[in-house]
Amino acid sequence: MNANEISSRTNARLDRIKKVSKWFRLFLQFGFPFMMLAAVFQGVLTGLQAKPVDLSQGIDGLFIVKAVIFILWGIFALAALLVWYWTSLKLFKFFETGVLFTTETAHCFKIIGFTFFAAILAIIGVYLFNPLPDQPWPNAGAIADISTCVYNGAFWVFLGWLFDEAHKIREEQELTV
Amino acid sequence: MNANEIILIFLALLSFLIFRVYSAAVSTRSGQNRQFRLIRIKKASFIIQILMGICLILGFYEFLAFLFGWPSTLPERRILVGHEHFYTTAGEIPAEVLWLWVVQKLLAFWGGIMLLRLFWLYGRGILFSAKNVTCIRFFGWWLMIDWFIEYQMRSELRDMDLSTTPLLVGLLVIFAAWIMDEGRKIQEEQELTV
Repeated sequence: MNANEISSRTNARLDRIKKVSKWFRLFLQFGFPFMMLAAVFQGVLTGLQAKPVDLSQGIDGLFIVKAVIFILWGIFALAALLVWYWTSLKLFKFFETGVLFTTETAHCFKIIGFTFFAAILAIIGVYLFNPLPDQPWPNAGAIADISTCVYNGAFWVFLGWLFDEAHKIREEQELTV
Repeated sequence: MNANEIILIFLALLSFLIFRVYSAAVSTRSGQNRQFRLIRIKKASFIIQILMGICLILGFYEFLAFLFGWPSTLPERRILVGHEHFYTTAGEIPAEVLWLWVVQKLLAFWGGIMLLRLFWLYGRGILFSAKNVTCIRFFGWWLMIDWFIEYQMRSELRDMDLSTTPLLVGLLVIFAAWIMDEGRKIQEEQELTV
């Protein structure tokens, strides 16, 4: 095995990574918004009615407060989804250009993990604004969804941190004479 | 899942955050070097192994306790399938759903053991080996297979309000594992180059 063979294999691997990343990026860039639009369209078609905003006891009748909180929650949830979407696109673009284990990609992994944590607040909002009549808060469904977000988020953040540390270890090794 | 398990999860997060703050503080005093980074990775992995081990043991006991009617450590034991189907004993669950639930939980425990193995490898300073990739790839496949089992269970119960997020996340995790594997092979080939 000579250096030319090894070099062509490495190039083939990088080319493969770039191609697959490109397809993932295209799916995310065009397919994901299409899926979201289809879900919204389906919701409108099935005639989902918005439930009255129902917050904790003691503030019944404060319609303006409820409406403001609901709008702020909606903006927060949308912002978290957009951050996740934008960061995932950025990550695939890095992979598409052959940038694999750098501080930037590690940073993307961490941000994706933190959006899962942000999703916890969004889930809490969903269950608070749409309480199930026979299930007191916190109900089992909310707990299951929240724990899924915690585990996924922790996994991505840890992976990002690990990539970062490994990248820095390699950099320090390269600097060592 | 109940308040106790939520507390456990948040304790795990808190431990991780405290460890991060402590490590950042020490690193600014000691300077950044390879050995110190590896020690930090090993310490974080060790803490996560302990917490995961406790959760796995408690969870497995609760799984057997639910199946065989043993005493539970939880004040209230209920299994939730979908959004509305609560079961307090195994006998209440329809047979098809029960078998799917058992398979789902056994798969989850195996996934937990694979994650434990992953963090054990990190604890030994093995960061990007083929074994690590196998564990991460299994986690991705587990997310997707778990979703399919959940889909089957919900079909049996006519409760199809199911999010597709686990499928997407599973795909992303498998992709991340593949990237790690390719990167590892590239690095090995480069090391062989004179």
